[in-house]
Amino acid sequence: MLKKLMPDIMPELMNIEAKTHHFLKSNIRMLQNQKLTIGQEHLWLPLLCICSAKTIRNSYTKTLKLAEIFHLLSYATQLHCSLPDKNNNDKTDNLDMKYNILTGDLLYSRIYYNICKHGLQQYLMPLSTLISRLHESFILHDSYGWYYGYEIKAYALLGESACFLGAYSASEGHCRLQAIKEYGYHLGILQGAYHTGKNIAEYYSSWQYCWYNLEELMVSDKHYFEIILNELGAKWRIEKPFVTRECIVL
Amino acid sequence: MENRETICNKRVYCIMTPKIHINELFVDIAQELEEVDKYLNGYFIKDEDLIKNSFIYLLNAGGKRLRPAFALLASRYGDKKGCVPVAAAIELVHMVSLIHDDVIDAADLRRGKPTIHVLSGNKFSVHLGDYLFAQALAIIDEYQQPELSAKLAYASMEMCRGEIEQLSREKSFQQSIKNYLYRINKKTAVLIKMSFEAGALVSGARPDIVSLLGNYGHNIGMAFQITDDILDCMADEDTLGKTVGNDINNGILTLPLIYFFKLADRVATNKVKNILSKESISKDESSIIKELLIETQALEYSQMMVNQYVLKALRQLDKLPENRIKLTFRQIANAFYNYHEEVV
Repeated sequence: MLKKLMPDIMPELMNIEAKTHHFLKSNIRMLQNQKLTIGQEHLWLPLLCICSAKTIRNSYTKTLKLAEIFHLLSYATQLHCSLPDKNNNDKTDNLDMKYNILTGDLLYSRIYYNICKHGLQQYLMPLSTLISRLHESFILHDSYGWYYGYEIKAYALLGESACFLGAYSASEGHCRLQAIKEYGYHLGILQGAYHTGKNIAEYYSSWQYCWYNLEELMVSDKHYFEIILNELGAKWRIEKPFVTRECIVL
Repeated sequence: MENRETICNKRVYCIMTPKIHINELFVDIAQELEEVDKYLNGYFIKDEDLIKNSFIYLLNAGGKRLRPAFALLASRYGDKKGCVPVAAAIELVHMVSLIHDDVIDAADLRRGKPTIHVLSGNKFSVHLGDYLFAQALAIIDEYQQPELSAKLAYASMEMCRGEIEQLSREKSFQQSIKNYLYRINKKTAVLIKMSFEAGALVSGARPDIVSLLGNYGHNIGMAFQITDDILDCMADEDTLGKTVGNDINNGILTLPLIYFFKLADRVATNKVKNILSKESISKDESSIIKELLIETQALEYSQMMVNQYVLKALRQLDKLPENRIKLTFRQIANAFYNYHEEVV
């Protein structure tokens, strides 16, 4: 679905996928004779990153490197979140768990390596902050259980960072990016609500905020963000709201 | 510091002190080593209690702080101060690898205390490791030295590759010495090498000195890991401070066993293969392996390999300017020379 959403970005997304596949296959012996499947959902963050940059400017070498990092981050996080809390007696399960831990570690260190290799040091601090905040949320959720909406929070953090850093990579600090950041944050909330089986209606204010921030964007080309919202709206059967900040229902 | 040393003294003696005590070895940097612990304690003070308490638990569990010590010692080759944060970040990366290794190996004890995954579960341990790794990157970023970041990035990726290589060869008896050396280089030596280079880089040492210290660190790292593998086969738990025979139990072939398979006859080889193929290995079976390793002189051969790395390390030192720290480096290298004879 994601690849078809914007055909003009499809080659970039396929390239990102291919790079991650190649990296994993060349490093993990177990995967060499197997078909590696990384879910399409991991393209969501690279897509947001690229769309945000395209909203600002059409030239974006750094953005593609950053989008690749978000693909690695999305997959690494999923691997480490899907571990069983206790070892069981099944040898295959335990071996899978060991590979998931090490593959996740390898991907996280690859993120760091790519940041250094591609001269993206200015993104190191925001990305390390993002990773630590994500895992803090997971720790609190796993330990207390009651920590309300940790998954949604994680999605929001990821959406916000992908949009903001993607736009920043294209603008190099020359544009006001608050609206893009908020757009990503609320889009992340909506994605999180959808994927965790929550009732989207409960998060309607985020839907309104997304459209509101889109209106606020001081750029000429907003059609990538509009495509995303229209597609999600069709999937969730909600229509474009009439929005001003005053009418957003919290 | 005092508390930490009390806990880990047995281990410290075992690895480093047939000839000299660690306190004497690190006397020049004792104060800075304490600052590393203080820095780490302070760094997480504002964190969530769960994270902070687990981290303090790990920090107080002991450990030799070898990597920070190496970085601090190497920093004496430059003029600039401020090596404590980088030394702390390196220790953090090392701690992360231990936390995740304990989950992978299902280890119950680390430095004589229950491991984090035993106390809080696998998920908590892995998330805590990821959290700490991200914090280490943030500390390194404060230096704004791309070369430093690049070295740590490379080291952390190589460490993962080493672990993956090890896992993929579990229970495989067809391993060469070359495979083994490749694996321990990535798993252990790369971070030790990086510790020396990082200390020298941060202090503004000359590039040729950074390189020499890195080469020295690589050889020390290799000697350190092979010695650790010999001890895993030979030492008793009281001396070692951790479960002995962990590698054998997990089906990991280390240098003594690789030599054994090269040197032993078919009967002895089959006997050991049968034991290693089992789900779990009893103490008696471990003793049989230990005796066979002694009989076939596999340990002597392994020690010879350590000695070769020690000599290579010393050769790198010869090219460094003379000073007090160079003497310390020489003593560190000498501590590994013919070490196993003292254990056996």
